[in-house]
Amino acid sequence: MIRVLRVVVGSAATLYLLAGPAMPQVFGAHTRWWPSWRMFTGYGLDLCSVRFTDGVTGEPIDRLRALGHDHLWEASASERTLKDPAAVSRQVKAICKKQGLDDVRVDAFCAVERGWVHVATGKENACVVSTDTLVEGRDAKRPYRRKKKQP
Amino acid sequence: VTRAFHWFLHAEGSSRPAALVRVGLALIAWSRLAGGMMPIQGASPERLLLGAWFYLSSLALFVGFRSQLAAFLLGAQILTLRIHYGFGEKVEPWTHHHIHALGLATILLSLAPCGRSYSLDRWLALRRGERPPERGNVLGMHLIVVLLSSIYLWSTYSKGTIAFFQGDRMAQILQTVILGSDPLPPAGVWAMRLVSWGTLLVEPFLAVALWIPRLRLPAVLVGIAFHLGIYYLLPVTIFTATTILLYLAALDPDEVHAFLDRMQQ
Repeated sequence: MIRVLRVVVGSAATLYLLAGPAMPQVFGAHTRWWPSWRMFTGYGLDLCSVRFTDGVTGEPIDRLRALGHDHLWEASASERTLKDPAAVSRQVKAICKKQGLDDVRVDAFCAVERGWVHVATGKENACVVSTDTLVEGRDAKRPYRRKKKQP
Repeated sequence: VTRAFHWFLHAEGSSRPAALVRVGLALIAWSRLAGGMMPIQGASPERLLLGAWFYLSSLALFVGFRSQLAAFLLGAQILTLRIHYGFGEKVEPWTHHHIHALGLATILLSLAPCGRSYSLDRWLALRRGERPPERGNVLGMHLIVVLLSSIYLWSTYSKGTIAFFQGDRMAQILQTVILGSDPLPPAGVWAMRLVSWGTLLVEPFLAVALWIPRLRLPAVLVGIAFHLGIYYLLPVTIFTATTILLYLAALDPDEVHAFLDRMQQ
């Protein structure tokens, strides 16, 4: 009897453990009743990777040095890691003010699940434009879709 | 296949690895969940009952009193926390995958002889003049290894995207955690690709190698290094400790027993 029970319990548990994750991960079922092993799939998406350039001289700007930090680790987490285009815009404006710059161009890629979206290509002077203008016709929030043009 | 099936379901082995997993899981459950079970977190009769259920079952599991029943009760509670309170009552921290892994491992331990060694159950039996063997059916330990394999295989599946393969996802994670918003140099981009490819190789390797006697020890060592690396970089809380502890289930129980004997001489 105990051997039969082991076969039933062991087989059912193996099936649930091995095939169960297919329900949420392949077929899109809710994870409440099923195991799902999608670790950190949503982590690291609050990030924009940026390069700042002086719009007058064309020289690259070391953004943390421009804010008064000699090393990466001296900057606060919010200065070091810019989580969205609004944070990028705020940091550029702070640099413009602190360094007395009139024109700073931004090349920015922001994280999405499928990789990066090139949200800013340096067309605009980030010292003066708003976040919505900086992102060049895209939404300023993930997934940074291109806005439909008004007819 | 028949022999493997028979071994998987009916094999017997030393109870010491299961007992060590028992003690470890109780400690991990305390470290992650005990704070939320205190009366100060909620004094409704339901929450007090939940707290009593948690503290009594985890204490019983830790000391090894009615060990398999305690494992079942604590595992059932952790799964209840996830299914009912986590998803039903929107207590988001209890929906996390490390809670699910802990709950599943604990309930599976109830199918292993986790009370026959290092336990109050054993001490009470010895006091009665009995000498219960430190052996038993280890189906629960085999199922714990199935759980580990499943975690690694489906975690690999979830990483099967172009963004992960190109190293973009790894770069995003590491830039968020430590490197910041400055673009990575070309060498950094390649380093992220290599780390991503390494992850895509290591996880399926662990899923399979934990079942192959010759590869088991290297797999455990690779797995420990892999999980410690993740623990250093990401907020995975108890997942590292749980996984490393569960590797005990992959080792030959009689070899673990003999090793402990040698250590205690």
